Amino acid sequence: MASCEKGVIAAEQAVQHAGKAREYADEAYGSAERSLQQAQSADVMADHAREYAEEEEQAVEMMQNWVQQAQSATDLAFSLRQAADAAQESGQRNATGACYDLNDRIQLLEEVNRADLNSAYH
Amino acid sequence: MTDWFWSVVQRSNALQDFRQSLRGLWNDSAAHEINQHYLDPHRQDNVLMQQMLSQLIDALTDAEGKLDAAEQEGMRAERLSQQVKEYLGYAEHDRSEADRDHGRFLTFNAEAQEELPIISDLIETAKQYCS
Repeated sequence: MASCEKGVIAAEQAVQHAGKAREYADEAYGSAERSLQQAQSADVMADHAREYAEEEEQAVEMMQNWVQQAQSATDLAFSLRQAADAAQESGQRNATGACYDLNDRIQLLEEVNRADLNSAYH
Repeated sequence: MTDWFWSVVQRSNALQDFRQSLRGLWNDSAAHEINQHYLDPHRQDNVLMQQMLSQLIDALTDAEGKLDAAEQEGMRAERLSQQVKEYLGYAEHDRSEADRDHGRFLTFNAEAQEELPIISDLIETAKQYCS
């Protein structure tokens, strides 16, 4: 085989390898492009997630605020309940006192009446 | 609660009406003494108790409304949390795809790089034979 023919064969092989290298490079480029697009999409999704997370944080803060206010109202209700109980107990003592007082007076009247009747008989 | 309170107020009013109706019939010293010592203070206690109970009902209603509002916000936070989870899932999926394509890029790029010295050698060989 002439020496130049070997050179031509080597050149043809170089062209074939260059074709393969081109195919690999094209695939690499396509993959890099898709990777970039997916990464950008992931970034957008992460931004949405961050926005929702911020809203969630605000909702949690508002919920805590409402719970604190409800707690204050409940504390006030508890104090009022204690005051109402105290007034009710005082009222009950006064009502009981009135009943005992009346009862004592009625018994006294009965005794006076009985004594009057006895003296009338004798 | 309000029905119960209404009943308490009605019974208290009935007692005070009854006392009022007795005022003309029972007006001796015993009546003065018992009213002064027991029944008038009882009426004051009753007024105070009713005021406290009325405010208590208001406070409990207020607390109930605020707990409802807290529950609403809690449900909103729960929904937003689900959306955060959902979008984080999308982001994770996209990142995973990006990783996979990046891996493919590295593989193909390495294979293209491997071809370059072979091509250079073949070009050199061709030059040697044909020069």
